[in-house]
Amino acid sequence: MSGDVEHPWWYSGDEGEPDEEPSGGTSGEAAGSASLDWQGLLSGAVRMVDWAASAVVEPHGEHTDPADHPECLVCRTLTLVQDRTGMTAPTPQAPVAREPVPPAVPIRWIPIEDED
Amino acid sequence: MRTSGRVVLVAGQGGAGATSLARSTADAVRAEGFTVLEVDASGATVAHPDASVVSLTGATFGRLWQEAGADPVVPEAWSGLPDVGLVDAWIRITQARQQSDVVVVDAGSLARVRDLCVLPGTLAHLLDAAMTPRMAMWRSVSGAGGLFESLSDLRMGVRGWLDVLQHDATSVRLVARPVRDCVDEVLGSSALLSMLGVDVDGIVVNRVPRKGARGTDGHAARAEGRATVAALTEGSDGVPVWRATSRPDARPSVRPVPKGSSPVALLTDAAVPATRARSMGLSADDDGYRLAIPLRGEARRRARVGVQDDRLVVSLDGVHAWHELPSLLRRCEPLGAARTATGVTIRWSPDAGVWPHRPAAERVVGEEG
Repeated sequence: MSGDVEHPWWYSGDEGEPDEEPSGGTSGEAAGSASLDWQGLLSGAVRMVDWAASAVVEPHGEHTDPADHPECLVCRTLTLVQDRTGMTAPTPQAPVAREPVPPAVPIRWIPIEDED
Repeated sequence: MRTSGRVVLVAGQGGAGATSLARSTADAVRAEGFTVLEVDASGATVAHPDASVVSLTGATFGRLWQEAGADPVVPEAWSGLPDVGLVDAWIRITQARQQSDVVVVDAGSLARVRDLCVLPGTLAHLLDAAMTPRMAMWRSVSGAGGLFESLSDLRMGVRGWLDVLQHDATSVRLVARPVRDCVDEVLGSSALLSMLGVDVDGIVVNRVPRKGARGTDGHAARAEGRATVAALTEGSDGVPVWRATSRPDARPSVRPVPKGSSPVALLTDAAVPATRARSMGLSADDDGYRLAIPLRGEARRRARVGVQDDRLVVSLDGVHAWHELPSLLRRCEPLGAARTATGVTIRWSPDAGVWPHRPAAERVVGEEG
């Protein structure tokens, strides 16, 4: 992982497997594949998710104050939401799961009589 | 003939001979032509071949606690989390069950078998409560990849353990020393296991001195042994009690089943219906519904019952067992409960807010008019 170069999600790259034919190629396969490359779409979607996770979400995890990181997409969004609504934007130190939550539903015990 | 992956857990008081009985049981069943796998779950944590399985669970709990919090689980509940060794034991039991006719598990001490049987239900409950949409959101925000998936896998595994634990072909045998001081602990364990839906198919009073045994107190020891058997029989609520006469250094002499019984007879499916009656029974009358919860011994006398969300909670000595309520009762109100000869029966009435009319009552009024 450490040696990998981070690419944006739209970059198709040049590390395709040599045995594979180019996506949307003219190899005479099914005619539909020429216009709609499902494999390419799928790999693009996966690449987009990976890029978003590595380039946006993970760096944001270290940002304590959204106002200090205008370059960060998440921080900018949070700041915008905070300005518009007056709500406190969640930070990684106070993530969604650490907000005050209602307690677990208590057990309602049922009184038991002795039938014997 | 297969026995549908019969699992027999053997546990006992310290020095009572649980390990010997487990091995003797395995030997006897193997001699009958069954494939038997013995699992040592007595407490020594043995590294699982797939180390990631064990480390996954430990790491998962830690991350759940530190990163996402235990929302919305009551934090105190996590303090009772089982150790990873128990998880490892259950993984091995589940795997062994798929490979042989009978799995004989040396569960070691009574405390150990109690923990082994409490583990799946407690974990399942905690995971059900923890894996909320909030956690899924937390995953997407923090990028804590793998946590949610890890918990999902773990939950599936735990559900599998619960199935094995509460399966008709799973049972526990408790081994007691022949002294009356041990009776309460054995009966308490039997009651707790029955509350958890685990069948205790026998209590073995082991190492009862034989007639003619050497020692000046042989007579008194035999009398103590008889009294122990009698007390266990009286308090066991139908669980068979038998005696064995093994010596610590003579393991093959341990008799794994009552005199006159075949070791296989107690291990095959054919014997199951005769030894257990633990499934809940739902019935109806004009007053509403009745849910009968089978319990044995002290569990029948001391267990508490309650409702939490759509779950039924049965509790004994601080240990909870959660059961999914039948869908019919999820819109009903519990009116009360009564202890019966076989357990506890809860009375339910349809929730007036959901079912405003009571057809049965109206019909009675109409007939009177």
